[in-house]
Amino acid sequence: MKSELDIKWSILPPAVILLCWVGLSAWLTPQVFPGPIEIGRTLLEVILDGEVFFHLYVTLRRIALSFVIAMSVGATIGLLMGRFVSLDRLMNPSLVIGLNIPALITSVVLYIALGLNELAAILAVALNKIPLVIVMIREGAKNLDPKLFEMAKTFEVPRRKVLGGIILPQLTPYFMAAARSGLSLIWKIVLVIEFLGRGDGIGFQIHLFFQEYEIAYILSYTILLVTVMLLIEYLVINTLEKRATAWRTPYRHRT
Amino acid sequence: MPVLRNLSLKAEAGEFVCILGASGSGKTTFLNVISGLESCEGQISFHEEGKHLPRSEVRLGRVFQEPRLLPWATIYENIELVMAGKNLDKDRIAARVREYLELVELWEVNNYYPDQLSGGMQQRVALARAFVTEPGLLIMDEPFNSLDDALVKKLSTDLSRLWEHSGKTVILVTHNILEALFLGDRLVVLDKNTGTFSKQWVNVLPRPRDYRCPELHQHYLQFVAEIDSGRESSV
Repeated sequence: MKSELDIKWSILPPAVILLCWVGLSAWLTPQVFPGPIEIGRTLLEVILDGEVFFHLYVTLRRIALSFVIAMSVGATIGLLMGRFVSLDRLMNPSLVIGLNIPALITSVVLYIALGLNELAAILAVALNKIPLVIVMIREGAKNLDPKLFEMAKTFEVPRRKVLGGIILPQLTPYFMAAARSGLSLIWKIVLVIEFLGRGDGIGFQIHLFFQEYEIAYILSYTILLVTVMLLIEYLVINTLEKRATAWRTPYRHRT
Repeated sequence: MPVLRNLSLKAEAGEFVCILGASGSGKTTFLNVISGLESCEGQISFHEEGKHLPRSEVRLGRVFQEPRLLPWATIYENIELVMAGKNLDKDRIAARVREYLELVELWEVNNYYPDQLSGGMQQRVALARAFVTEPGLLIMDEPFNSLDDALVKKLSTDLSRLWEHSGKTVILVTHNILEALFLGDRLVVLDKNTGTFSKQWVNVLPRPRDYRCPELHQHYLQFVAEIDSGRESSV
């Protein structure tokens, strides 16, 4: 249960940000940096207009597809690299290269190679995220408890049960960390690829508003997307994590 | 460097054999070889009613020095895990899990997680897990090693009850002579210097045994005296 003091302290940073925002807006002029009230008005107009929800849907769909591809491919490769030393040695140089290629370069190269289409867009995002997932899951795979494998081998536990009952639960914290960092990275890259080469989505809209110097609309669309991402974080990822790690709860009765 | 040399041990069906030895004598290595976790030059063979059984047909159960329970699974789920792939239907599995948890008096906490239990209770769960698959051979590696005296006596009693209920063959490794005398039909000493079994003691104490029984402590003193005198018996 949060104390009153905790609640007061947690309100402080957003309040400070709001104050800075008001001050910055007054100093830079509202045309360059609109204040909270102007943004609020624009946000309401955008919501009532309704078009933003189509673009939000398109962007979220790209985020979801890229996320699923990145997590499934990255987790599989990471698990294999963590368990097989020879594979780890073989693939590590490529992994390091993959980690250091900027998202912008991957996006541009794929658009040129495959055309300005959905495949190139999704692939660009997934390829940027996969190396990060591999690194995190690989660490988890390297830290699996060998004593539990010995126990499973002695009792001849079937492989599918070893995977589901012993390996995956140990990888859960690494998986959740990869998912969290992945999501926060993926949605930013999606905006970039939409900005560069798509005809819909929040990134594309930001591109249009940028050309028309409509900073209020840019910030309104951004606020909406960030709100949705925060909701996903708190309602989905947090909930999944709590369920997966319920056995860690420190307040359960001890015998 | 070889740890064990020219080792030969025969355990009869339903027999409780205790292996004694100092730290570093190779007791755990011996158990790892039996359970297939380490390789050896030599042969491990299993027989049932005079017929040779291939290793693949022999089910093993093991209690390790530490409980090795899955912290993210309940006690029930921990035991249920080892029943997977044993060709039993769900009802039969549920009945057997309950049966063995009741034998170790832990059925009431079957939905608890391991870290909600004490160390002694976790080891009792490990005992139940070892017996629940009704294995052909049970091997136990100093299962009560880090526990206090009172708890060792309690768990030894539980183990004895489980063994009598199941009638399985058990090989238990320990450095505790009193525990070995309480539990074993036969005691075998693994010599650290030679890596061989140097002594065998057939335990004639009647069952059920009691830690308070004077005969147990007399046998203990006799056994210690024999070890100290260095008298050898072939195994």
